Amino acid sequence: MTTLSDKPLLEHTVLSTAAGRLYRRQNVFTAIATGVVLAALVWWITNSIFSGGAWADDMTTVCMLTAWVVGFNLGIGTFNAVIYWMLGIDQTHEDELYAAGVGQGRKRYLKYCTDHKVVGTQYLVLVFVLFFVGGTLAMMIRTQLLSPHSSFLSPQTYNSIVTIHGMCMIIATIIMVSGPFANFIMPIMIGAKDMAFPRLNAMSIWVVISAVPCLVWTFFLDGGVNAGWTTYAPLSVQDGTAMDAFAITIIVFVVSVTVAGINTIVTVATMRAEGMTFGRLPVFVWGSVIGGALGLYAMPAFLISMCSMIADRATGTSFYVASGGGVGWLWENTFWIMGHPEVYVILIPPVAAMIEVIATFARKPVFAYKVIIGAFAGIAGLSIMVWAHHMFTTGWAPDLAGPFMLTTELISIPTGIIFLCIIGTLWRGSIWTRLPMYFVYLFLWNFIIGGVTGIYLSDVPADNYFHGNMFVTAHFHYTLLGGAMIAGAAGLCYWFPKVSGRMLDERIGKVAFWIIAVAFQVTYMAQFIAGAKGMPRRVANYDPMYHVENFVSSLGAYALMVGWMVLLYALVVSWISGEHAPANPWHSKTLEWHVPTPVPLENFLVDPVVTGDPYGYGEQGPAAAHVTFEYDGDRGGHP
Amino acid sequence: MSSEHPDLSADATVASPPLKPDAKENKKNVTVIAALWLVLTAIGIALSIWLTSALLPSSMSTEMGGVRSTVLVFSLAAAPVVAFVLATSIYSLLAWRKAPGSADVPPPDAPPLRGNAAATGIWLLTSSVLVVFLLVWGLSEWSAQQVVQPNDLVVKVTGQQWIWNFTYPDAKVDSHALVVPLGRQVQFNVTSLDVTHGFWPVQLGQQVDANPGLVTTIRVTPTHLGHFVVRCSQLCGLYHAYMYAQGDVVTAKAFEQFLEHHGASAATSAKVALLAARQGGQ
Amino acid sequence: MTTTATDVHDGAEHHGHFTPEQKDRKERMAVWLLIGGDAVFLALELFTWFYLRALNVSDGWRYSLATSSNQYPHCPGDSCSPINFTGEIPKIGSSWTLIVTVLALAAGAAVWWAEAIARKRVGRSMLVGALLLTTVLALAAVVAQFVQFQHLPVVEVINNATGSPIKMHLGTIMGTYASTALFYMGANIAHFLIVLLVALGLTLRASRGKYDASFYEIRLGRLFFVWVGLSTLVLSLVSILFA
Repeated sequence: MTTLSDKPLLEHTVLSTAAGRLYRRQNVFTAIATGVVLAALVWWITNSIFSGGAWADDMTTVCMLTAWVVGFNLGIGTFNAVIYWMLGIDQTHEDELYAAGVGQGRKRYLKYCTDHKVVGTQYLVLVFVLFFVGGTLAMMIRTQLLSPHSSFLSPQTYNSIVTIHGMCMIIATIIMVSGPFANFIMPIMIGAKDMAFPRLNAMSIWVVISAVPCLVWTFFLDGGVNAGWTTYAPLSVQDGTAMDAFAITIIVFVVSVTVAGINTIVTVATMRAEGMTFGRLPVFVWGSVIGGALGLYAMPAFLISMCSMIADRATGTSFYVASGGGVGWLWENTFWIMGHPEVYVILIPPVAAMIEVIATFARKPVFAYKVIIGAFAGIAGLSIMVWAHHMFTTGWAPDLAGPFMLTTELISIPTGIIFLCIIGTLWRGSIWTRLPMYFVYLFLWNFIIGGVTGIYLSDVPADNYFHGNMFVTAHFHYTLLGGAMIAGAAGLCYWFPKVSGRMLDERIGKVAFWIIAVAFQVTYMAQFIAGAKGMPRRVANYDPMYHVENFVSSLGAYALMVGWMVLLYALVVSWISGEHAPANPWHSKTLEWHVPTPVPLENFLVDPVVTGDPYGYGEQGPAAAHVTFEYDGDRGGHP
Repeated sequence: MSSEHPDLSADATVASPPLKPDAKENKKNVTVIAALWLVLTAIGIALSIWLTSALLPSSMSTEMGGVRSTVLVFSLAAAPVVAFVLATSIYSLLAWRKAPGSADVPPPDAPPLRGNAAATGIWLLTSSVLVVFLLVWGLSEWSAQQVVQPNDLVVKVTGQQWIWNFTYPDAKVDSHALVVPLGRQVQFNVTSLDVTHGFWPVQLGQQVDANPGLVTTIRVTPTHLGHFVVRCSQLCGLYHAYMYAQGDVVTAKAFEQFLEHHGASAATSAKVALLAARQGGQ
Repeated sequence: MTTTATDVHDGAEHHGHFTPEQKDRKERMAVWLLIGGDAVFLALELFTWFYLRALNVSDGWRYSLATSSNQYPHCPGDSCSPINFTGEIPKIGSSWTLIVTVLALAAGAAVWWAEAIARKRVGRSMLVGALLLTTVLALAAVVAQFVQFQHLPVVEVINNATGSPIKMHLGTIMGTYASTALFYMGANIAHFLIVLLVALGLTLRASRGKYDASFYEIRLGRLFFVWVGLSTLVLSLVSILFA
């Protein structure tokens, strides 16, 4: 995976500063050790301070988990640069090279590595871990729902699994494209040598890694979080200390997404290669920036809802406690002010990635480039004004039903543009049906169904029937799993050769594709039917009248998991022993395909100069050759 | 270096494919897509009508009737849109899929169509018209539901973990089953004792959350006699799945009888309890 | 491959080897984005205040009706005595709120002055002095905020277990006004601590001569500190005027 470790020039790294020496000793193991030690220490201290107090358990849990996160990040090196900056000690060139992973081989994947490609790969692995955990939990949910009166899981276990399945998948889908590909691919696409803030980039991954154990740990605390991933207050105020761990997870995740969003935006704003004007940016770059900006808007709402939740639980405030003047509507508002933009934080980057796939495999320029970017911006702008459609049935403001119906239905106009762009790009194209293209067609099918079922939910009178019902569950799985995740899979298969340096085994990949495609329809069509008939969601047992639908849905879900496992198998086997990938297997025009595979540190052997946009398929002259590489005479690199 | 930087100008020597299709190809594209579109639209319309009547519960109130007609009308409006997306994407696979020269060489480049103002304009116009239609339909349905009929019946609904309580304040009757008279508008004043619940009388086609410390309101007008179920639509803790109540729409006469009987029996049981307490105290 | 590794980029420009102008541009944009996110947080803090105040569920904002009897429910086990409130919750006095606000704004003004010193190249010791003043003011703001916690008004409540009246400081458990006002103070402390750490860093770096040539970091600090001062002012005005 690395070609750099054997470059002679880079071997003689010098131990130079205190900061640099510390970096050399830190890795994921020192991080875990520091985190555990600090957490144990703080647990002991807080336990003796708060012991017997009113909210001792909650306070102790909050302090201990904060200590774990801080300790883990101390141990990995997140704070090194901050501390040494404060002391006025700047890192030397050698330190920075070391931090970027020079001469470390594969060990750098276990370290606080500032190379954006390492960070991207770390994100990819984390996403797969989260999907695997979330998927396993989904299998347990579907096993429970095989029969109406199943007692496979206790109601409490069932509720906690529903919660963590939801949050695990939400975290995974938020970072599934903006993590791996906006880090690995996007800087190369704009001709940058790295992200604008490489250390913050490493921070964004390690911070979220430190949050994952807190999320998993909720299972082992006081019977888990039983309030669903939306953790509606005041139900969540009733929960045990697991809810504190859940809130800490989210707060830490918020830090990661905020840092990553800022980094993405600044990178695109300041790090573009010569000639890479905004009008020439690939669609995926726009998607990453708009997704990042939207995340930056949404995450403070997540932060304030979780901070006030902790305040209620651990200090006794009454934001959500009715007898103290609090109200669940406050939670529902701040939560969905985060929650609806967040849906598009999930959706926009994968769709933008998929549009790159379509241009490459239809051998055509992106259709209506400016319109699709305008549509992304329009979606982002409207999405901050639609949150209350999640609250049509809460009764919080009946007079706002009309305005929120309007904004919600308006957002279908820019979303419809996505279809225009895809169909327009496919129109009269030379369709090259490689594996990524399969997922594009599956996306079209799934997302049109997800979109159409959304219009019933956007309509207040119809939503009064469908809200809180399996129909909603099926709808958002069609948009997020069938839409965003399938689009993400298209991007993954497309960029796999660049990321791994190997070609993906498309034979196994296509087997996986067909299982996923069919099983997905079976799983969620059955849920649409159950929902239309009136089955509420998030129930551990249900009326026998919904038995057939649930049985079929569970079988479909098992097959769906098998499909994803087959795809994972194809990915792992190809990564280990696949055929070595050429630099540009798809003959694509975006910049990331014009650097060597594996991609060297700093990406470009010579600086690119961009002269056109990367979609000049079928065009002649300068439009077709949209980039030249500036061979600097001093370096004597011209062949 | 050349091995690592693929030659970008290779394609430039090949003549661009023509931007405009010839008349024959154009005719074929339009005809086949139109035919596919018509067939798929017909299937979509048939599915909309069939699924709406087969899946949704039969209407027991004007509100549920509204839900059924909304779902049907929206499905009919969506059918041609879905059919168009599917027709073009299926056609793109049938007609434009190109066998590459070899496994690793892409097919030749396609015509560089970078956009089409007319297509974009028509697309935006169509989707805007559809949105306006959805909005007008939804708002008119919604405002119709806001009309308060004279002589409506007030029922107080109180959710608690994990049971529904119904109180008829005028008759001073408490019940765990919801009985409402036919043809008379019912106003539900909904609240909760502990956490947020979702009051959802399924076949009546309305729901609203039960919030602690607050009262929320919905109205339904039952139009058909029969049995219905009240479920909880908001995750409310351990036995959320078991939080439901039975409901009946009955005739006005039967409803009076219910109130009398229930009020009487409640009073009787209270009297019995009081007697028992006194005896226990002696 | 006709070139060797030495001919091409070897990471020589990697990470941080940007000119101060480039760094300034990147980091200024990042600070603005951070302020944007913080502004959303501030807006939601204000939303929380006005929403809870307007709804006044169970008369819980400041228990303005003496007839209401509220018992705090979140008492795990018997670890806290149930208490009843018999009257209106007193307002948090404005004097400490104003002191905290003035200190936060003064820290912004001090770093503004430091930036002017750096720009006019008055000298390193003056610059360190101005930044030290900023640090002290930020520390004073943190301390003042903590002191305000200790000087909250006293409320008379009834202990349900014994039925006897007891006197308590205004606390988190006393309704949504107290909850939100104390949450604001907590948010203030979090902001002041960030300002304090950055100001300390700027001071130490200035004393090591890091800003003799280029001082864009002081300008970025000015941007953020002034924002913190202004957002504190907004929160203070709301909590005084709309109690």
